[in-house]
Amino acid sequence: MEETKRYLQSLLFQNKIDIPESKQTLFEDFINNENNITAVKIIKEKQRMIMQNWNLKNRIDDITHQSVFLPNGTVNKIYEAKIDFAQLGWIDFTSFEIQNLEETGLTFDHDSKLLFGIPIISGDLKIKLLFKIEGESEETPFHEKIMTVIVNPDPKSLWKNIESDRNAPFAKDDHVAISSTFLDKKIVVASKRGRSHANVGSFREDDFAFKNLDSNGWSVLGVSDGAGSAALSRKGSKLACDTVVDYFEQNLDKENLKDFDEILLEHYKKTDLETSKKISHFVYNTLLKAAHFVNQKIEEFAGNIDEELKKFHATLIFALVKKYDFGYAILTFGVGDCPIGLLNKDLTEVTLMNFIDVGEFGGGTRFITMPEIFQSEKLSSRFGFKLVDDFSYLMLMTDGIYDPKFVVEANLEKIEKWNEFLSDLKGNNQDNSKVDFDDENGDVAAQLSNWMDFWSPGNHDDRTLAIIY
Amino acid sequence: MRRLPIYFLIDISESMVGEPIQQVEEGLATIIQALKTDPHALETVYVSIIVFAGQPKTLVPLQEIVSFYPPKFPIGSGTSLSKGLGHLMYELRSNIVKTTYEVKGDWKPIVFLFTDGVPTDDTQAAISEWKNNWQRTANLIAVSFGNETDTKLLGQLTENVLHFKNTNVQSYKEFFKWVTDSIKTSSISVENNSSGFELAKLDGETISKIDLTKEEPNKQYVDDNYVVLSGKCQNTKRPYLMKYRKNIAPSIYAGIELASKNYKLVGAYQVDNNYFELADNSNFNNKVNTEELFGAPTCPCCGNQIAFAVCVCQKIHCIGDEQISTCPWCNNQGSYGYGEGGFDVNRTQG
Ligand SMILES: [Zn+2]
Ligand SMILES: [Zn+2]
Repeated sequence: MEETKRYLQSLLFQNKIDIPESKQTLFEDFINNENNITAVKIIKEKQRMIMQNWNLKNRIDDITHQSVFLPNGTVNKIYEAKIDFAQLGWIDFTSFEIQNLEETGLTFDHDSKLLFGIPIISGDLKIKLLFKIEGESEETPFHEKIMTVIVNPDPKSLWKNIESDRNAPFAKDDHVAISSTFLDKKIVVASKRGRSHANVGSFREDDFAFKNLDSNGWSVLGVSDGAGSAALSRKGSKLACDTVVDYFEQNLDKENLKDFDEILLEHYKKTDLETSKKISHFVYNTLLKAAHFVNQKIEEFAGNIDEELKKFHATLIFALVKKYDFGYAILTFGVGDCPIGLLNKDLTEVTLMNFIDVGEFGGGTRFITMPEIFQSEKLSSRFGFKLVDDFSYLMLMTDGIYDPKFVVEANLEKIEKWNEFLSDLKGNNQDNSKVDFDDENGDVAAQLSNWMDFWSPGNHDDRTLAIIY
Repeated sequence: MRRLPIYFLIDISESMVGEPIQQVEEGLATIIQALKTDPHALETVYVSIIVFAGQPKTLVPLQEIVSFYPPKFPIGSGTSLSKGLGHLMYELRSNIVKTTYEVKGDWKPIVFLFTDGVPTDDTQAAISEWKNNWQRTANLIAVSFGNETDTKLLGQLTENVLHFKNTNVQSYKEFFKWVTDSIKTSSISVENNSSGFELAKLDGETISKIDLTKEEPNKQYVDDNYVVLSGKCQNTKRPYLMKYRKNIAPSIYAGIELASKNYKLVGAYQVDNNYFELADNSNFNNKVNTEELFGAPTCPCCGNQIAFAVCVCQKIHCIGDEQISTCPWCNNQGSYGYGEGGFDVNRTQG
């Protein structure tokens, strides 16, 4: 009764109707009228219902707009994510189900609220959550909420392997692998086109060349990495390697070498400042001439066909090795970011034979085709010399191997890293791919080439690895 | 592996409310999706999203694209480009890895700056810091959304100042495709040992390069292209924005020129409480007269007929049929009648 009275009083008041003293009895009758009582009751109820409906509507709207984060998945990789109802504040759900999982490879477990499986398609999967909340009647249809599960493609599936154009100028093979002898040791080299080139059908830009120079007892090995941004670097790298071999074949004159043999013997017997100086002098002069010759030859070649020199940009590392009764003399030179590593006989020590050119940000390397490298104060650090009784491995590689396997320069100085690398080569890897360094193994080149197919995300450069063992 | 860091520095001032921000939100999701179809990008690109209004905020910290989840973009008050740039430089300083003997460095980072307005603060200090410390170590592409961005100012940051005509959904699609292509080409070119950055080809239609020698500087601290009013819903207590766009064509009616400047309703939008977090704290007192505003929206939060009621506290809220309204800003109660003629209301900075 009180309720009816208050309601009617305020209704009249809101409509600017005042009830004077004289009308009080009339008003009392009015509020006691069954019809009015019922009407007020109905109004109250309807208002309650409206409020409730509004709250429900608002709540459902909130749920539909609420952002739900589900971890990303990858095609062919096990996926598991719990949809945490409590954390999402979905404690007022009376019933729910998940739809749109057909053909995704995912399943939803209603009890554990676990979304799991092995995704078979990539993309932003739109998953539908159907739900009802407290306060809604049985008959109310389900509300829909769309949630996104992002499934990444398997990166391996995205790379194409398009053959390079055999008819283009300076065409070269996409893969080369070869084994042979090097002095009294063995050599195996494999050079492979990187995924980035395979993906667009462009050429392998790495190259290598080696030769045993029988006339003077020296052997030479060169490895080069053509700059990706240079259109004809595939030719640049080939020219660099071939030229350095040619140079030594033709220019290591016998007189000069005889002197050097004597200096070395002297040095072997008694290492002092004097002999060290003489050696440095020889190494510097001989190798600098070779490097300079390479630079000149490429420039000449470019000029002859009327092309810019920078189109031939390529790095170059090379080693000149000779076997003496008392050991091996190893002379090296390097421009660019390709390392030369010398591992001692019992694998306890590594000597990094060259200085690596790397920039502050990626891509800041130097090339043999840049005349300024011969003027730089760094020039002397480009040469290396070592006289050893024997060694187990001498390795020359391009950054396509160095980047994924050693990652940073510092690791090249660590013997543990080289031992890991060796163990990797010998089969300790995901693919169980193995290179057998037995002298009798005739399959070694194919094995190395095979090993070189290892997968490493983000590393898709050409790969070249030369091993003297 | 070397990372290719891509930063998006995005203006989320009120004028972006509605379609623009929605398109940016979807656009970025599409960019990432498209990059995932490119094997280079998938393996090397890292993405970060920084937003700025009166305040800056890192919406997505630098992360590889496989773990990227498209964020919901907030809207804030003001356009503090200097704070946005400052925050960007802070993020670059803390995240970009330089090559050293022991560490594998990143590729040169790329920054896309999207802005649709005029900074509401002084940007000189931030711009000189950018010039001195970052211009050479990062590639910045400034993209102006709409016609009246201060391009002269953007030109001090980079020579790559582009104009994007955000006319319809299709142009947004083309624009984000262009951004994607630019990232794709650069994720190849950096790998190929070049440190430069290649933009995808411009079509000149949707996106065009701005001739920086021609533009006149624009020196105002309120973005005048839009009037955005912020209100609060009486029922839900949530904030919302009402956006009006400046009429470009002179409105001549029956030979009589109307108010020289007027604004037409674009729409009313619900925003979340981030709006206050990202707002400039300083007290601005910019008024607009309601006579200049055409169109009155309903409340985007509760559907109340009138979203544009002004309380004695000067703030805007929605009203319905109720006799007595309670202002959600100051809790003042009162009843409303329709005002005669125009009155001044506070506008946001834009
Ligand atoms: Zn409202
Ligand atoms: Zn108020």
